[in-house]
Amino acid sequence: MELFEHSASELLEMLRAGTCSSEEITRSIFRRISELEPSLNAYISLSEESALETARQVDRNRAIQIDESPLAGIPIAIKDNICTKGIKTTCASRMLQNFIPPYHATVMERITNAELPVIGKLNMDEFAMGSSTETSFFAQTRNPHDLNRVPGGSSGGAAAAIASGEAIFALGSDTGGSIRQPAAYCGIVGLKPTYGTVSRYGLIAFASSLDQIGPMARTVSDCALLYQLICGKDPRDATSLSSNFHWNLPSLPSVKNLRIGIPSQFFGDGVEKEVCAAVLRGAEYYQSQGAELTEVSLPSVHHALSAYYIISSAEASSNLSRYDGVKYGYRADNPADLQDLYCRSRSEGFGQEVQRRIILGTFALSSGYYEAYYRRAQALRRKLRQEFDEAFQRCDMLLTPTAPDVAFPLGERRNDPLKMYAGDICTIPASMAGLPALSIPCGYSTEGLPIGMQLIGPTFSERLLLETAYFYEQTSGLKEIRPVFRSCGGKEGTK
Amino acid sequence: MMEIDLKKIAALSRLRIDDADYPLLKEQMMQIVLRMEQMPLPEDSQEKFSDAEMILREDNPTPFDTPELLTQNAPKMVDGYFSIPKTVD
Repeated sequence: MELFEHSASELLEMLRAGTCSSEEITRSIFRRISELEPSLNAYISLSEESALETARQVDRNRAIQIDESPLAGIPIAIKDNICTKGIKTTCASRMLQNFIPPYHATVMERITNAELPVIGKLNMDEFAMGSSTETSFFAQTRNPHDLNRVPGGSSGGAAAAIASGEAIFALGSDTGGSIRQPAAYCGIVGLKPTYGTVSRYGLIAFASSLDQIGPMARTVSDCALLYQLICGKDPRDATSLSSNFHWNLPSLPSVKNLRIGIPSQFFGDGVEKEVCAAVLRGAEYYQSQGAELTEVSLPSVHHALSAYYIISSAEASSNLSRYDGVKYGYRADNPADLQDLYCRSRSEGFGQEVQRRIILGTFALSSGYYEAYYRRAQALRRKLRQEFDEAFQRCDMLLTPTAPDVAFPLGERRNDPLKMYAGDICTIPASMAGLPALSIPCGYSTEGLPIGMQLIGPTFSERLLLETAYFYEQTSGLKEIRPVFRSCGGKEGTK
Repeated sequence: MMEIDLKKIAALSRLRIDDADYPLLKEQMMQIVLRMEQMPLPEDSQEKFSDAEMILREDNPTPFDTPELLTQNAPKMVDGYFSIPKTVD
């Protein structure tokens, strides 16, 4: 096996045993990238020199037995909406095409202090608005399971890189499903943590009451280890919360007497039958191992999509008003006056989807419509949270599909925003309620495309969700996730 | 059904929409808004989503080590100031 094919946990063992070096791991990743990237487009930028320098430093420290942090030397890739000091951070937008942050995001400070080599910045939907990575200003990322299909979004670059071996693990961000849905489409693991447990300082804002940075990886343990590194209170983020999360599994956890809720609204119209069947097989597997399944109901889920798009667009219209061509970002040439500067800089700097959401958000907040839309959406959000809390009186977690479908063909939904938005129906509810949610692979469609299963828990239940997912991963017989790369038509391509 | 004055909303958003793009954008917006109008009305007058309070830090400014980095991304600077078109004749 090549080094890039191993999980972070396996590589850590190999580093401790001295059977490989951090530099060798990092070079293996870059070789993989040079081979696949012309077809995959998972990255916007690469940092080979600095990654190798960090790797060599870790190897030197290890040679003289300096104590290292738990993940030191394991390369990581970063979604390009997370500020990296001195490294371009573009949000896949013309607006920030040349933006170099003057500071690190808090999560990046933790990553660099822990000495993880940073491979590069990953492609995404522009300003994290999208579910297919098709709105990126730079290039279209493709799904390594079938290059004619989308990887999902907005953390599509991260999912594609991990699934193909172009990254061991990565940081993504999730506002309405942008970690979980691409994780499902690409057959990897992705965690959206409890809102507030990972600092948003340095995450370029889309919708501040919903945005969360989270880990993506090929295994549950890798996800857990990365979450452990990045979580915790940060005085620079007023919404951040303390976390005492620690990942240490001395033995396989048990799911005996675990109460798993099955919310009926996630298995009805709008969710493909094949996806329902695969996810319910996952639920039945847990039941066969001693868990109890309970049907629950979350009626407000029916309107969660609408409420989400009002709230997230309203927050986006406010957050993106800072892009005016003055202090940073794209500036239109030869503006006639100040208004022209603002309007043309924004109209030329933002793509179509971003402009659509800004307009929707401005509309929802405008005089005469605030009551009709924004207040109504907030009320529904509150009700949804109450329904989740009531469900968690009867069960320990909920099990649902991550996405209502599998990865769709490139271009299929580009001109149909409503159809694109409908792809988020399974992920949005947990986002709106601020709850932790984890996606793990649970099977494949008849076309060989991954299907994802989502576990949603009460606040701060990340450990329970990860243990439950770990149990499934280790015992269900689902094939171990190793990097894939299939050319057009789903045929095995260059490996 | 609510009518959307797209030109007004675009102006408020400081966005310029080409005349040719208006019909499609308006149609898409109407479809989205139509779906949103199906949301139930609020049952109470409570404004806040959550009772959690944001804890703000003390308002103590500290110097930024490398102030030149703060303006390195500015499209146009003149004598250390951000430059914009004249607003007053």
